[in-house]
Parts: sequence; C-alpha cells; structure tokens
Amino acid sequence: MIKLHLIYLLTLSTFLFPIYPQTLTINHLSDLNFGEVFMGYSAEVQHTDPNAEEFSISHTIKQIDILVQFTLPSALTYQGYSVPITFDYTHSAWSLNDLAYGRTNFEPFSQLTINNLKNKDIVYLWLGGIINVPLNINPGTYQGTIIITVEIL
Amino acid sequence: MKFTFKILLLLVVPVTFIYSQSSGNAVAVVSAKLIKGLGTQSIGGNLNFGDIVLTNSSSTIYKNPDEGMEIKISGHPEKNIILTYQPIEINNSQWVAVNGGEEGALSFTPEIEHTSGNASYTNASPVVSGGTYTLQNSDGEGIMYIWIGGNIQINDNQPAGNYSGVFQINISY
Repeated sequence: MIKLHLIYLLTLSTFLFPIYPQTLTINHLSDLNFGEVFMGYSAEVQHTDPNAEEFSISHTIKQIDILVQFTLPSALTYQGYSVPITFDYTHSAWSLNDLAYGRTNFEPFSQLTINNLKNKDIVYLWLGGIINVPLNINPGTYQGTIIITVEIL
Repeated sequence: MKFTFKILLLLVVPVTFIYSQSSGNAVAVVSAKLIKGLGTQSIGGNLNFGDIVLTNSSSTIYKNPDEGMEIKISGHPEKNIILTYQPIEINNSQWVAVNGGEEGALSFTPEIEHTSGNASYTNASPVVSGGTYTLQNSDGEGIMYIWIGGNIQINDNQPAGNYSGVFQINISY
C-alpha cells in the first residue's frame, strides 16, 4: 500500500510541478568598446563589429518564452564630462547563432519577446552604437553601463 | 495516511523554490578612450640658408637644428607619435622663369632634433625618420618641440638663382 502511494505521488508531482533546475543563464561575452576616438569626431560600432556588446542567454527548460529588456546609458561620462551615446534599431540584433549574418534587428529601448525557445537554444544579443564627441572636454576613458534583464514569461 | 502526507510536502517545497528563479540580469560596460588630435605650431626660425657665393667648387652648407626652425607638436598626453620625413630636392625653376638662366637642383638633407616638452634648445635628442616618440604631459596637453636644420649640397657647376622647395614632416599616432 505504501509503495503504491509513493509511485502515485511521484507521478503526480512530475505532472503538476515540473522541476526547473538552473532555469536561466545570462552570459556577458564582450563589452561595447569604441576604442580610441579623436575629440570633435564621432565613432560608430555596428552590431556585427567584434567590439560590439554581446550577451548570451541559455536555459534548461523544455520550451519557454522570454522577455528581454535593456537599461541603456544616454551618455558616457568621465570627470564630470559626458559624451552622448545613441542606441537604435539598426545597431541592435539577436540570433540563435553566434554568427555575423542571419540576425534579427530589434528596438533596444523596447521590450523584446522571444518565443518558443527550446532547452538547447542559446540566444545571442548584440548592441552597437554611435557616440558624438564634443571638442572641448577632457581626454580620458569615458564609460557607461548597460544592464540586460531577462524574464521567463 | 500520515506517511503519505509527509512525502507530498517534501516534493512540493523544493519544486516551488526552484521555479521562482525565473529572471536574471547581467551588467556590461561601454567605453571610449577620447584622445586629442595632433596639431603643429611654428614657434620660430626658418630654413633659409641665406646668400651663398658660388665658387665653382662643391661644398656643403650646414644649419644646426637650433639655427633652423622650431615647431611645437601638440596632442594627447603621454601618447606615442611617429615622425617621418625624407630628404628633398630644391630647385631654382621659379627664379629662372622670371630672370632667365640655367635651371638647377640641389638636395636638402634634414637634420631634426627634439627637446621633449622643453621649448628651449637644451638636451636635444635626434629624431630619426620612422622613429617613435612620446608627447610629454604638460597640464593635460601632450607636447614635443622639434628643431629642424640640415644641409644642402652645392655642386661645382651649380647654376645661380633662388632655390626653394617644400619640406614635409608627417606626424601620426
């Protein structure tokens, strides 16, 4: 009688409460780096550039939908000076392959929903951008922060 | 019946805990290193060798760098620059076009030195074409002073006239 109960409960728990160990992993693969930029000039990094920001998202669930959202800086700063930075649709892309082609552009300031991800799928996301450097600011290394938030729907 | 209830609790508790891990985030850095562009400023002097009397024999007229032209190079502090230059040929074509006579050419071989961030000619060091030099930090500006002299070779049958040409120095990061 006890054995029967155990089998029944194990079966029930699998059906009602699917186990999701280690559900979501977000990896930061590379930073968005504009390199050396002359003051008074602009610089651009395409999403296909090796210096573009790259994240990967993986999971171990059989099939999920995810919601991706970025918190993006409006400027890079250094010693109280700032350099405006632009992110847009053409400089943002995602793909299920870590390749320079076959990517899908997205609007980086909007929520991005990716549906029907299988448990072996890896989502890659890239962000490029444009900076316009004023003439009369201090030279130095200007920085900003990008935060990616991923939610399972 | 009691035994069954305990097993059910053990199963539900860990499952609920793991399922709550349904979001995550990561942080990345955007960076750009802003550097000052290169500029040059003529401080003084020139590369005028003055009047040379032709004696029908070859000679070399020399101008020490501190007697020639001084140029200030400005750019990003502590950044390396590369200077390149070549000897040039100068000629009297313009003078002959106005005054007549025989056209001729002679070579100018530059000799360049630098005094780092010092505007005075002290402790000068040679500047080799293709060499790498560092702009000295002076209140957030990278500077280097260069001094240009050199020599011209006068041939024994050198035609008379005013000789001129353009000497170019390329400066790059």
